[in-house]
Amino acid sequence: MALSVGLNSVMRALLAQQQALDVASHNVANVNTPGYSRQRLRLASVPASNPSQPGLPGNGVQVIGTERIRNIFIDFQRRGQEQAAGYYAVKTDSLKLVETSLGEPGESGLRQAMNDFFNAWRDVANDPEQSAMRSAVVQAGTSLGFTATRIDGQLRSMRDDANRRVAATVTEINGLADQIASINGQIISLRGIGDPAGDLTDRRDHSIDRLSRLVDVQYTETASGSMTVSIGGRSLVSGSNVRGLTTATNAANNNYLDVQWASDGAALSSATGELGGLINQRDVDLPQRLADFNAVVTQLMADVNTAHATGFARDGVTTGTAFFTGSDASDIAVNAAVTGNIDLVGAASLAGAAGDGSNALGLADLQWAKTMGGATQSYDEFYNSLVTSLGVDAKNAQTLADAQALSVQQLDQLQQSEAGVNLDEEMVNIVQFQRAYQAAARVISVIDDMLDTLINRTI
Amino acid sequence: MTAGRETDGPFGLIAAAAALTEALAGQRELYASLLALAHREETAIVASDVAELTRIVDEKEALIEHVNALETERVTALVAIASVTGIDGEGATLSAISALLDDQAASVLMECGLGLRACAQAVREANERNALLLRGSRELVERWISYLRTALTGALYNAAGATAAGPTRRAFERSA
Repeated sequence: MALSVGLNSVMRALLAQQQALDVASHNVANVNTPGYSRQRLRLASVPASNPSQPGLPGNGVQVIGTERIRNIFIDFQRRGQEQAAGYYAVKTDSLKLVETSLGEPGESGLRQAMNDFFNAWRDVANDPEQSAMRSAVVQAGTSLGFTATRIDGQLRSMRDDANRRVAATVTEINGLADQIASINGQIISLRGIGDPAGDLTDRRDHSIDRLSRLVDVQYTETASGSMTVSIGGRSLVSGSNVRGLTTATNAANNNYLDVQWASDGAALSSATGELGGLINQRDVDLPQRLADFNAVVTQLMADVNTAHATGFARDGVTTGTAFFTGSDASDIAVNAAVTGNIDLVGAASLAGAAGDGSNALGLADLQWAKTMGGATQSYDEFYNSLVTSLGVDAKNAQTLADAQALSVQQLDQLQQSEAGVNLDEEMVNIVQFQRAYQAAARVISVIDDMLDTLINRTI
Repeated sequence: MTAGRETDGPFGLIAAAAALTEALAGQRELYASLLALAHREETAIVASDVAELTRIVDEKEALIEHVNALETERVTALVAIASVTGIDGEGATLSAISALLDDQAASVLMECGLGLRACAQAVREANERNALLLRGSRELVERWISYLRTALTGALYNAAGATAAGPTRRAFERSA
């Protein structure tokens, strides 16, 4: 081998090793960077200068590029799990808030308020002439009204909050789409000049990871390195172009926001991810629970008003007074006339019958009347089934959210085992290199001494 | 050939020269093997193939033992030649010994000697190249270890014992 060829080989090898260590240094520097994928140098041997002479050593090694160590199949699985995780996380949070609002079992819930209200009527029935009893039933009715309107308001507020989060999520989706499109352009440019753009690809993957949690996305990478991202079969990002989303107020849906494609106003189709979860909570789950809650309150209000209107006030003459005013749980309140004059409480069933508490007893007995669920359940039974159903749904959602989160975590760890940077491992590996190089250098030195004797003193 | 000297028999010049030729031929074969190993070593260094490099070092060490054994035989033959011919140790070059042999034996001896020297020079050239490669590699590795020690702040076990180490940043130094 000519000396110049040998030195070229050495130079190439040193440059390759320098680059390999630069890549390793880059890996270590990014050990705590979220979404970073370990990179490695791709090396290839340089063939011998004269292939017609077999047996000659090659001309060393050359760098042909760097590559990211990342398993795209794990990415694919992880993003699928992430969509479901986002959906169930939103559902779990929402149902927990509903549970907190209902406050069952507890002193601040509707059941306690209903119990107190009907017990107050029993007290009136026992002593209808006592102002204290009449005052107590008015107070219990007021408390029941406050409890109902508070819970109703909180449930409606949760829908409003979900609506605001829909808007924020759409903004975030558009932001991520812009990021991906921008990175697409940079990656295409860099790959065009032979740079694999590993760090940019990581950043883009990180954006797609987040996007997957928000909405049901599909994605494909083109030969140029560009990533096309779609939602429901329509392109969100294509190359450097973004077809973003927008929101529009829907008068038919409480003036809540519909999510649409900005280009033509077509409705967005996404059933999973956080966006799907928020829309489901806002438009399906919370309205149903609100309706069930209202059903109890509205029925109770109607039954009490009907029964109370048949009773007679303390003067034995006045009748036909409604106990509650309002249309549903949002505005239920004790009739201001009754609040202002507790003598209007209709305890008696008969006119001019002082001391009659039979109507009050009838009102108290409404507690057990089967007026709910197609005349099969009392208020308490119906409300109890509502609370129980909520508890079961919340528990199921929590279980599914936990399972999805665990699954995402496992896939993260799996990806990390391939793509992650482990400082300990790097240290152990590099010390092995050091020891091997030391041993090789020692043997070379021994051989040099032998050669010195042989060449200079023998012939 | 010098008259009156013992040129034949188990202790004669011919037998000693034959032993020398045999030792040189054996060494030439071993150096050829060392040359092949040096080429493999170069590939292993540039590929950062530590496992292959370790194997090569082991094979080299085994070859060196054989070379040393043959070196003993070569020196023994030279001592025998010196005692028969009166040539002192410093002057016992192959050229000087060949001059005392018949043409055929001299030719074989010189051919072995020159072949061995060519092979030895090729080994030395490959050795120098690999030494240069290793020096660069070792410097880079030292830098790298220094860098990692900084990254693994306070997480190194060394000859003085274990330093404070976090649960996920442990490392150790094999020279400890």
